Amino acid sequence: MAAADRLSALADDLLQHILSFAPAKEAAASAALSRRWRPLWRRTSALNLDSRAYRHSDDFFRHGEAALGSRLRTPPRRLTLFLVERAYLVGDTWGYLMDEDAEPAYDARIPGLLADPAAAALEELRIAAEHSYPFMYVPPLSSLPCAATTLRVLELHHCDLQPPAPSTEPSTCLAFPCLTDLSLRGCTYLQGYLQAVVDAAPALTRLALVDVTNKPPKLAGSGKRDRYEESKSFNLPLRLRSPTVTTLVLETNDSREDELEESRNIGIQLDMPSLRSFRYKGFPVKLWLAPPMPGLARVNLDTCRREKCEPVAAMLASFSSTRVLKLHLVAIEEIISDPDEDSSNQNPGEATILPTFPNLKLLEIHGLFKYRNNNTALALATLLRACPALSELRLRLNMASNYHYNRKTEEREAGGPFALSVERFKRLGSMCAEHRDDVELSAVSDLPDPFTYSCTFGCLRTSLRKVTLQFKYSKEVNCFQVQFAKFLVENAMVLEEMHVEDGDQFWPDHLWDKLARWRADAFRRKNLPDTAAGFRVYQLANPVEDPDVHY
Amino acid sequence: MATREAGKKMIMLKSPDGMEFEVEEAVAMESQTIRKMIEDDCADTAILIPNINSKILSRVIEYCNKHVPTTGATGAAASDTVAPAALAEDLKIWDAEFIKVNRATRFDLIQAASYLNIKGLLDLTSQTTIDTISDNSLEEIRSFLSTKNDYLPEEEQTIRRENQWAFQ
Repeated sequence: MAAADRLSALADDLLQHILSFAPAKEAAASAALSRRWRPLWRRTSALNLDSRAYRHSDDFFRHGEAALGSRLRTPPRRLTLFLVERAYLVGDTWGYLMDEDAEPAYDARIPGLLADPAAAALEELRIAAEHSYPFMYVPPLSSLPCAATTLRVLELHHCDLQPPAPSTEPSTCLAFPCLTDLSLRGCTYLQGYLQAVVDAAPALTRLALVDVTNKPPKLAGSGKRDRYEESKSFNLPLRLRSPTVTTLVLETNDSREDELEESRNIGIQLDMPSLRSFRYKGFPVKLWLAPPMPGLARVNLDTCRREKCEPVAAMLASFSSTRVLKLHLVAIEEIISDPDEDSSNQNPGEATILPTFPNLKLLEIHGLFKYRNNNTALALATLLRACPALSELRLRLNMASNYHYNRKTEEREAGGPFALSVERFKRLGSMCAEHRDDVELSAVSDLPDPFTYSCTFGCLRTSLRKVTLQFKYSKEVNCFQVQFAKFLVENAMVLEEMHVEDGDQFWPDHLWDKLARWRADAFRRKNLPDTAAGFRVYQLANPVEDPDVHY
Repeated sequence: MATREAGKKMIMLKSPDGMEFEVEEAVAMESQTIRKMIEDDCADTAILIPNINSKILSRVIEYCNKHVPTTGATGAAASDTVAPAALAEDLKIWDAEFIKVNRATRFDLIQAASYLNIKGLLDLTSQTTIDTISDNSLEEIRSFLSTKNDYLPEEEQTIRRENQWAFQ
């Protein structure tokens, strides 16, 4: 087969690269293919030891040792270990679960593999353990030979980070002098130990913590495992300090109600003066950034609304220096109002004050809004007013499906896709023929009050050049999104481009030339020179799919 | 939400079969090879990409378009960002669809990714290649690769002895 010929025609270094993705055993077996293949696998940069392919852990370790043994002269730079429970736990889970006094024993051959001379110069180490609570794998972080010398990238999945028992390894210490990237996913750590690991990495610049939970120390005096206590790990509060980290990713996809309640006053406390990029995904929580982070330029907040949470605006207050702000909110109105307004421990009517973002160039907002809710306009107006230097605005606005106006809601939900398409058909019908004039001309009204004081929007006068609007599911042309688009083309003086994607609802019938015409009309009314030549409307090239939004 | 921006520099890529592709500079610079050409000022108006036909080149551009970080108007360096997990997950799904191609196309993509030095695409194609050939016997892999076993029987015995563990 011609294609097959070509794989053999690839240069050796390319074949080596391909081999670096193979499990160790397959890679080693490739030596028997032909003379040409014989030396290749030993030169690959990576070694992958995956216990999933083995029924018996003895075989896994024997092969792992053999693979490392044959790489002594050409040590790999990257090592990936995938550990299933039967490979790292001596004995079986059920035995430990049945006998509360038994302390789980972890297989000593894993530290053995990691201490192999061929693994002494690793630059990247990835350990993924099979998730098995409460007996998660505990990596020997304080006795990794590569950690002290060459390790730059460390990635752990479903591991439990805790110091070794003092009696077993008295001479070890935690030190990662070269580590720049640390990524923990689905891990737990003993309280205080995460900070110890970060402290041991003086060159750390990128830190990612995804679903990482804090485990309280075992109660002194009780030898027994208290399964309830052990399961009570928590995301928050989180306090972390690092003088060097520039990029931080924090994601928590699961927080318990009581945890949020307890952490209401503490939340996340970061002392990272070098931070330049911060991404947070989780519930809105109290955020303490101390000292201020003057270099923080990129902020990405993705918050899911939940009762009794911190107002988003209060979170935003920490980021007044940023140049890029991306927000993913459940409801746009959250920007100005506490979702929990009526809760008893808030002063009613206490407005959250949004700071000014003097450096903000790019603002991206993705969220839902309520139909005919004045707060939508107020929220966007407040935000725009706080961004005097904004040059690009990206909005993905979808209407919340539970708005009151939608008399068809029940029917549609009951009817499923069919009813939806009937609905769509009706809407399209209303747009053609006799209704066309309504659609094209008079339908779009001006925005409500908050936007009429356009003189106060600094960015509209001097800096806003590009706007991207993506929206779906608006049942009428005179919807908020179109009103907002109209407002922008009429009032943003230096606007150059507007990219619109409306889910094929009114485009191109409606918006395509309408936007340019509105702009020209408005400028004529204000006796301003026609800037039509400098303004273009585009259909958005690569709209983002919204699988998670229910219409 | 990558949109073509008027203010952005566009680069013309030409395939040897005469097709021209206009792409944003940032997209083209997903390729380290092209990045170097641009940075060294070797690229005037159009860059000829030798050995990569228009069909493959358009797929490569499709890949780069999807993977170019959306840094926005600020010019903040792409390296500032760690790909957010959710986005990375979306990309993975997209990648899995993207790489559902026949062998010939996949090998072309490997070569293209290698020549253009696009690490993500090279890794994706490499991993997929491994996934399709592992679980096969040596003989099957040999025939898959059209590789002749040029070992003498005693040599092959030695190889197998050396790495006995790998042949069990």
